[in-house]
Amino acid sequence: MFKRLLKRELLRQWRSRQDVTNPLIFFLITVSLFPLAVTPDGELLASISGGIIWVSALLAAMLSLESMYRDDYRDGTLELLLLQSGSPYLVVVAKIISHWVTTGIPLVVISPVLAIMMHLPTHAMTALLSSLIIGTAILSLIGSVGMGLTVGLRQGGVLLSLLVLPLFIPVLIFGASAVTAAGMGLEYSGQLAYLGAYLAGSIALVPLASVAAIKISIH
Amino acid sequence: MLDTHKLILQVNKLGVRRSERWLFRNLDLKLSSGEIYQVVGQNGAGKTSLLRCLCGLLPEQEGDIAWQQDDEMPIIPLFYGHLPAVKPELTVLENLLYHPINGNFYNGDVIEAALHEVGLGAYFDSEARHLSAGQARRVALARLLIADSKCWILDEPFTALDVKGCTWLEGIISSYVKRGGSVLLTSHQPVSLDVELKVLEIVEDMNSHV
Amino acid sequence: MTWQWFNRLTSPKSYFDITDWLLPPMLIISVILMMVGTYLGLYDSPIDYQQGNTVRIMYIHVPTATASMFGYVVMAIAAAVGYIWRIKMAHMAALSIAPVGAAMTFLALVTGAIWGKPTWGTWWVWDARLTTELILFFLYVGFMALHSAFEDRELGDRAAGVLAMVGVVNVPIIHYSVYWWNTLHQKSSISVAGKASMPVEMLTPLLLMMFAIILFCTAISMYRIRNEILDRERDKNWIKERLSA
Repeated sequence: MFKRLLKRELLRQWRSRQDVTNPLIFFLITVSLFPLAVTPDGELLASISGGIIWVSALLAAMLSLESMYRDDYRDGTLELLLLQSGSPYLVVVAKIISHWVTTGIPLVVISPVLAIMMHLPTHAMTALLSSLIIGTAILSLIGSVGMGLTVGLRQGGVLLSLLVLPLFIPVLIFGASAVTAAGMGLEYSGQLAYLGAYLAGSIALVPLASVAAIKISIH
Repeated sequence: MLDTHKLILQVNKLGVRRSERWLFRNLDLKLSSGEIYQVVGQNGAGKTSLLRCLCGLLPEQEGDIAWQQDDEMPIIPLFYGHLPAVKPELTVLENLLYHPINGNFYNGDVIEAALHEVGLGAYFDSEARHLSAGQARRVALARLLIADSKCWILDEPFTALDVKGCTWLEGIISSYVKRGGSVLLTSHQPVSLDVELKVLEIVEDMNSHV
Repeated sequence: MTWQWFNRLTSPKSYFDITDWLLPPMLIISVILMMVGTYLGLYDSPIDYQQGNTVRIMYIHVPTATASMFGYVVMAIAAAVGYIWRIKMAHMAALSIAPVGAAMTFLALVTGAIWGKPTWGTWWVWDARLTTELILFFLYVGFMALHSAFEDRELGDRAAGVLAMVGVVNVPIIHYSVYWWNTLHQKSSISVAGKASMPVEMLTPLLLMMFAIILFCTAISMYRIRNEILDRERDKNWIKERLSA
């Protein structure tokens, strides 16, 4: 059952491939803007690179959140999935996982390239990858709740950012700090542990909240 | 399928509210297998809202809805609503393969047979975006044929169907009811079936109506 | 039996009757206390040896900040009660508290900036408390924005309720993470909150102002609930009688 739901989501994303590549390009461009706007000085860039990559990844991932529920809402399949699947929670989890796999993971894969562009020291690469993997997963989770609440609204997009970003701030703080600390050669396992805890908490609560939110939206 | 006259759904004093207005209150309904009700009322009276509420899409405001159990599983109605629930980027076949019906996923043969019956045999592998509105509705109707469901809830099912299609659908509904299924439907057009069609009229206070 | 009593308590009509006589004295007392507290704080209390007179803004900044956080929690609880037990009054309460809480947050931010300028030379510092207040402001605004985006008010109530419940779980997390982030980058050791032990002459006006401001906010919120009731229940007979009387 779950496998079929997951396959559905992946198939759907595959058929609208451009939705997947757009966030990646946005990520690339945004990060590139910073040196142009600020300074090409390697040392300065390195000190802020963790933060810049994280913020850009966050914004890029948010761009693609729309695809989670909006199309399904518009053509009535969201209702159908919720009603006929026997377990709306599985539906939500399948959607979150597929969003993460098609948006979050590509961002993570591309991030080393951007890290090099931003002069992030190579020994910080592991920190970057591990923090971003967890961070993008958390974003898919929190985004699912925000998207569930706004999917039926006309101006949903901007409102979505307003709702999701404040909730994401702790993740941003710890994630970016993990990368920056690693860049300076410091310990960063505490930050990762924190991220892991946040992820665990989100996994527990988000499906519940998302289903509640969607039920309100398909009213 | 089922023994006839087994209770499928019991509704007590249901009240539904929308946009800060009560659409109706104190609605009672008993639906048994082999029964079919047509829900009538003025535009905006709450017909669609009632159907959606019974499916669980609209949280009821007061009263209770009790779907009975069959083999210890609560009965899930098959809802056919305003939107055909067809994804344009998937093919017709994929649409039916990947959307659950009644808690189950179905496989190739059953789906192909159903598609032939609704007249979409030539369209298995076309992306649904190439279908006309009427054809998209037929895909959704195919779901009715595929699933083994005890209850159908149909909201304006005859929309966008041509005359032949309407007759065909009426036949399908009649034979389903004769087999012991139960149906709740709304329709602007006159419905002619060869089973008894009961009527449920929606007014603001259902108490006064009884 | 108790259910009936509870029902009567949460019915809009009895709320109106109770607040008719309860609110005016509540409001007056809170304003008087605020005046007393402000006087004590601005004139009578001692000056801080490091910050001089600017510390006096603390008597407004700290109470408003406290009120804003307290307000969010109360709002979230009301929204949760409304969502879980479907009590309309609870939703109305949450909705009424939101702008008051947001205003308190805004005041806390402004007074924080006013405090910051003479103390650190800049209008804004990324100090832990101020940053948390900023994020809290976003949370309030998000709540109000989500609610107003729904055409059906009751749907908006429920959606905002879900948001508030998710948000309130996050507030302590946000608080903690911001403090942690701040300690990483702390350059100065002066904390905006002031010293841990405070002489009685400073403590009294501070506590007085805290109580007064929270009381004031409560009174204002309760007035707003009255307005909300008038708006939503306008077709009811008892309201028509009241308004024509």
